[in-house]
Amino acid sequence: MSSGFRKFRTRLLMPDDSHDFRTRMVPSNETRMPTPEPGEAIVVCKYGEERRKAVILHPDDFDLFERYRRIFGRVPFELRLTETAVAAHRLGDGDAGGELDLVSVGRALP
Amino acid sequence: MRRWSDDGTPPKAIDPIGLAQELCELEPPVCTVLVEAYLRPVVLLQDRPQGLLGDALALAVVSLDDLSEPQRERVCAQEEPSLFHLPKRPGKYGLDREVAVDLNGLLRIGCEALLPRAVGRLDDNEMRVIGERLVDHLDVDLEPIVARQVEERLQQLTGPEML
Repeated sequence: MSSGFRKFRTRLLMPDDSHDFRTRMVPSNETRMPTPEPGEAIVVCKYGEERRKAVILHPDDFDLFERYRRIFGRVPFELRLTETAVAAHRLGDGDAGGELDLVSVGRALP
Repeated sequence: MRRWSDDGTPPKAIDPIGLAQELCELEPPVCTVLVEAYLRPVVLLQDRPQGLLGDALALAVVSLDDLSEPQRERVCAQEEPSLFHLPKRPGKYGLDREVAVDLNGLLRIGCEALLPRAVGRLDDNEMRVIGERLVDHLDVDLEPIVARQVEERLQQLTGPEML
């Protein structure tokens, strides 16, 4: 198992926020785990270095990662559109036959 | 969408796939389509004083007339993040009716399609609010920029040895 570890220093990247992130606790005496330093991610690889099986972080980095998730976690805005926003947008697209504000157009002409 | 022919035949309706197939057979791959034109107010998102790009970015402005009364009230109370309400203030906004800036209505407009004079303006604070909301609406990921700025600020405060 030790040959499957690859160590490198990295910035924390945000994952896809389309799913909830869960934390699972495992007693330390039930697993053999390397000890990451702060600022270090240990990637556990499968099939040489082709597939990542797990990434081990220092607890401080994990806390930072969780804090970033809280700050930046979001869903695509389209999923948060309100009925009013959609209605107004569609009405705007169909505005071609709408009443023309001739006074304002006059202001825009030379 | 209607395709214009210069052989005297009337314009014919065409869908984007049909148009793409026709264009692939043309040399050069250009044709003329008929489009409807109408006048509508827009909010320009930035000054491009030199006009080097030949176009401008703008947000559509929509009328509130056809919304239901509860919907209109929510827009007027600025409770709809996608619709920035502009009350009827001809002296400031230049329009003779209340409208809303549609943050889902991002437009790229050729400068030649813009009338020459702006009828009004939004102040810096209003444009800042629209800018902040636009980042959200376009799902722009500011995280790397913010994280870098936070790191730089921390570094200024604590010195490089603390990071």
